[in-house]
Amino acid sequence: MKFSLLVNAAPYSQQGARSAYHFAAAALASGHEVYRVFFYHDGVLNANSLMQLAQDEADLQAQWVTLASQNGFELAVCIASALRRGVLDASAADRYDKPASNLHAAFAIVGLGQLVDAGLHSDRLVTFGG
Amino acid sequence: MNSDLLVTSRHPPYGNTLARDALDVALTHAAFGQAVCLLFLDDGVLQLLPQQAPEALARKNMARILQSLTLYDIDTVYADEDAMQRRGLNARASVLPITLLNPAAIAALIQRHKIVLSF
Repeated sequence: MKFSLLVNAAPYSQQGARSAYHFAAAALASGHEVYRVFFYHDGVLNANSLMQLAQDEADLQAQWVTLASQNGFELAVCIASALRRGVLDASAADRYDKPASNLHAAFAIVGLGQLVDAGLHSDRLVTFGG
Repeated sequence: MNSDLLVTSRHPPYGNTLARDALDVALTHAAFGQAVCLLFLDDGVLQLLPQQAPEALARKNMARILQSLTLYDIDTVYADEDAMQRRGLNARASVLPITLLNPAAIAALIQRHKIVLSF
């Protein structure tokens, strides 16, 4: 079965982001496919490359990046949610005259249309957090 | 009515932005030609209250956005009858026309949609 995930939960403070990761990893381990993970609402904070966790805490972002690269699915970040929460790629930082960009290189800034596309091209679209 | 997407909204209009973000998702799907219907659950029914005055909160008026849904051909809107009753809300006073559903009808509605997004 082909899955896509909608992640509305922030990393660290909300369990939904971690649950989404565990769901994706379990689905892949069971022979299913992940088409796209779409980060929306506070979920876009998962793409912030400036997060620094304590040494004894699991790095969820690094886990997402590894899982996505090993299995060839996209980590998509909603542009409207991201801009409002200070998650910017270099071109957005330049366009809006911000002092820095912080989008992790493994994530892609996209429009909400990519969520519509994920629904059309997946057997299941599962929401986490909210 | 059978639509492509069901969006469920269970949060109040101004406590956080989930209610607003749910509408953005609904509107985007409609703009891409998808048939969308909405279901208000739990505190989400508070979005239907008339006379919202969010200017004092420096927020955009959610009722106005809800009233614009019909321009995007989103005119199938449901609310949980029980959630409305518990909060003393009257469907006739809603900011847009809604159909009330009991638990069995809600289950059937969810069952017949391939895509259900929850906010």
